[in-house]
Amino acid sequence: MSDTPLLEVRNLKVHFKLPGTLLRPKSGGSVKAVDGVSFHLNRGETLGLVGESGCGKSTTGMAVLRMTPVSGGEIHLEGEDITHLNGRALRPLRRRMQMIYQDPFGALDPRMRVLDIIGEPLKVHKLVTGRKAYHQEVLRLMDLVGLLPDMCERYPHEFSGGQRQRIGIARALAAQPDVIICDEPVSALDVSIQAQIINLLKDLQEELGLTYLFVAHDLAVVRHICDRVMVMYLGHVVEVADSETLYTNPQHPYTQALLSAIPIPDPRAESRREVDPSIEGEVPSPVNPPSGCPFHPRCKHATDVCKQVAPTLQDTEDGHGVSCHLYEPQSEAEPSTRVASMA
Amino acid sequence: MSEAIANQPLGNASAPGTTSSLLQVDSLRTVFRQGRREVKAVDGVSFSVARGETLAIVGESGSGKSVTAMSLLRLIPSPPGEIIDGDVFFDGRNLLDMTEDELRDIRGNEIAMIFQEPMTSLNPVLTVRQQLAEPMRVHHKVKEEDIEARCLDLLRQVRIPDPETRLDAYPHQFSGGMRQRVMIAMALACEPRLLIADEPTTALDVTVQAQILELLKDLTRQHGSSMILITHDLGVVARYADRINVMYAGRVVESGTALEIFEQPRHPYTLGLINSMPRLDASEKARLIPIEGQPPDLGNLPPGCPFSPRCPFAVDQCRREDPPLEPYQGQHLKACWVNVDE
Amino acid sequence: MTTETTPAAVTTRATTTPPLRERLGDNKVLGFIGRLIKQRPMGAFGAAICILLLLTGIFADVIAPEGYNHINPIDRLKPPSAEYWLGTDQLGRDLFARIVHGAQLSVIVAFAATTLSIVISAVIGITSGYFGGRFDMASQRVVDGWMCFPDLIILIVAVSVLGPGTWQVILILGLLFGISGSRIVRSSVLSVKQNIYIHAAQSMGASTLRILVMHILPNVMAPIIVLFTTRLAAVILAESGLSFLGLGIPPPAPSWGGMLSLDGRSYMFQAPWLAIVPGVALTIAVFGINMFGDALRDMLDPRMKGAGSGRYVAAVRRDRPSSMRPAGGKAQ
Repeated sequence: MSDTPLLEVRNLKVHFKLPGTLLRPKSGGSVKAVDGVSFHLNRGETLGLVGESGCGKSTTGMAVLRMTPVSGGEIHLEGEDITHLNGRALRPLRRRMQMIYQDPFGALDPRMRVLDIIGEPLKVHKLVTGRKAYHQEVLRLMDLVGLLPDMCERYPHEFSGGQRQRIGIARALAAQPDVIICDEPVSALDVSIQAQIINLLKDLQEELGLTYLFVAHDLAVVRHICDRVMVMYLGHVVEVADSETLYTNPQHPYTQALLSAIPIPDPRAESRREVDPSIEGEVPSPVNPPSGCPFHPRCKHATDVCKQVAPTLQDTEDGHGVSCHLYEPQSEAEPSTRVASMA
Repeated sequence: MSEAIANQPLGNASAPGTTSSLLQVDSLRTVFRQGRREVKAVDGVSFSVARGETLAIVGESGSGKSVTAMSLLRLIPSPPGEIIDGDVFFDGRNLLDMTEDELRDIRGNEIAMIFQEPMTSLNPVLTVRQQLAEPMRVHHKVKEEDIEARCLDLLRQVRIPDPETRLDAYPHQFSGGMRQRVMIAMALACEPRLLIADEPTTALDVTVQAQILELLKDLTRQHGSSMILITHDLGVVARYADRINVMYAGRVVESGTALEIFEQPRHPYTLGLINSMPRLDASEKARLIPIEGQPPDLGNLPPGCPFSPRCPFAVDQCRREDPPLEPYQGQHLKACWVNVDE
Repeated sequence: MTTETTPAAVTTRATTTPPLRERLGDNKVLGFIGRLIKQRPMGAFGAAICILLLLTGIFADVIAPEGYNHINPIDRLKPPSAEYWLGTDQLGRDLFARIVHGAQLSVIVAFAATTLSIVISAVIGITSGYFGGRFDMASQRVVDGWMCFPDLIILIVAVSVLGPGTWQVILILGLLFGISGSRIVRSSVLSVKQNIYIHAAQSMGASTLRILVMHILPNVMAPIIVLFTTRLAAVILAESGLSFLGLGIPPPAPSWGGMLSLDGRSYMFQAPWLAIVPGVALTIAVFGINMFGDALRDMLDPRMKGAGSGRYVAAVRRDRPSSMRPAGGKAQ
């Protein structure tokens, strides 16, 4: 693994302007979908981006993929600044980053055969010459994802959800990208199929040395596939840590609340846990975010400082970052108010 | 068979002389016809729900769990659907034999339902007040002058802040979790004895999901009502269910208490589901054990056990004969020829 | 794939090919025709008329080899008989031959004009719908303006500028219907654009041209095909209307509309068949095309989800007699 991270994002901001009224077009304000997000992704690792609705995880993924305009901050792919590339300069970049989508039904063109769907990146980036080589490459990709070769002449509607997701994965692999952004790749699948796809993604990563940015709302799924996890809330990063640490020693109140809200399929384990009663209310709208720390209206440890000043991401231990006033070195909060971690 | 529907006070008291089962379903069969294709959505389902109990019906898409729930109240569009067999005894009365009027008396009154998508289940052009009052008016449960007070009380029970102002708001002015609370309030308006919740939290954020499920648990306990909770999430089931029915391809394949199902799963599908579910407390990057194969095609089921094509324990008998749902141990039932030892 | 032999490795494979639906037999066209006949018999009838029209047009020279202008003054204004199946007109020309050649003319003009209009509609609709923004706004305002004018005014003005003649008529009708039809294509494109696979193609780095041709166009084919059939009927009517007004293809061309207005009107009482025959021919042709177009649209439209139009109180049918059970039900 080289020293330069494969992907580095600094202070990313994605703001969508809302239309104002007819006479005052600039009065609409903006949706701050992503408001100052920084992280890095090393080659060969899987970073999870988790959060509930409105947290900005999908928008972050889209921004990295350069499919949404970036309002601020920088994105570097292997040291190269790609934040504001456009048009022709963006083309070679598109080969290096690919996306796997959430919706296995909408992500495939219903009028194209599987052969053409998977092979499209090969054609677009002129990666093979000749029909035979093209055919062979597509079949190789299909085999990688566990699809039988005689399925290549079929159309998407003839496949089940899990199989369509495999087609989507094969398509993402076709261009041999450096980074694959997985946007909730298993959320729309049945439970028994989810496991198949998660295992497939892991196997492919091991076999091909892939790097994943894994966007998901399901923390349990993320546990099984991610090396490091980043928790987002209302466009900000609230906590980032390696997987083991985050799940056994979550520090940010939101992370703790999130983890305790997720039930475990084990009645005995469940009876030992307690649902955190402090989590009230819902995620506020990103058009009108709260002042200071975005989580303060729902946080049982909120102090005055939290209402006024937004916290920044601090490293507490090696690689474990928390964005919370409770953990700031000069914080007035007593160390004893640090909440006990999940058993 | 036809008991007079007693003049009941608010708070449906149970009819005297009945057994402890509030709901008893026998051999329910519902089909959908599309052209020449007949899809057996529910294929011989039997179960019971005791008073005050929460029964979870678990299954993936196509398992028939939602159709089962809708069939209880005969909420199936006909055509293309039809209930072709079975009995549904609610407190001794067979719902499938009732006339439309009798059924309407039960719906929203003694049995209420909560759906998955609160936005489409609430009428966007009516205020919350109008929608909450509707079941009360329809079933003549509350006097006109008491309706306002009762509506406010319901909103407080479902923990909607500032109910006085919220009463005249429209559904689009609420967030998803709030709308679901309104739905629950509507469902509880006539103090039903049975609440059917069809994936009530699937469309909601995780933290909101926890709040809603806790709310349901508290309210059912408070009112002593039973609940049928339909979900695909085994975690939710582990936390909230007393008893569990696992469904596959339109039938119940295993039934038991929560502990029995999770600690001693006896049907290969249940075992497969548990093994393939991602868990928060798994060891880091643990490998999941998926269920092989694809979900079944309900219009074209293979002979014998519907799970046999995907079952790692299948033997010849499984592919020839359909196993019945039978007791394995006490009230723990399974529909499988093979003994899956653990 | 990893070389483990544990079940885990095997289970990541899809081991069965998906079940093929019966309908998707080896021949999609035959299957479609079969469905058409079964579900929309009127449409199938209309399709048969269209095919008849097409064949008549193609083989006109074989069916009526003497041509449409075989003047024979001796036999003028003869009623239908064994010799002249549909009678003759004032110049002794066999009406049957003229009708048959008129079919050829209609087919050529109608198909050519309709094809032109579809091409124009597709180009405007697809680019306008896909690119959106100011280009879309501008072009749609132009289309709005164009659609405000009554068709007839445009036609009259155009003919007076271009003069009468086959090619002029094709051009004018193509342009007229093409611009207004772009609306339909555009709205189709707008909904296709929402699909994730378009996003996927963009993020993959596909060129705009590729996306338009390989992704957008095939997915709006269904409404375009339906547009073709509806426009076809409209063009035939429009052309005959032009000829009726004397603005279309000039005689002796056997345009049905021209025959109806010029010969038919003049000799309506002496030889009513001169008016009736082309009129009926027009009616049948337009009827057939419309029926087929309607049926095609119904069949290509995605079926509405949840086809149940039934009431929400399920019918209950029992395979066995319902027995009176004691209250509380039987023990499990």
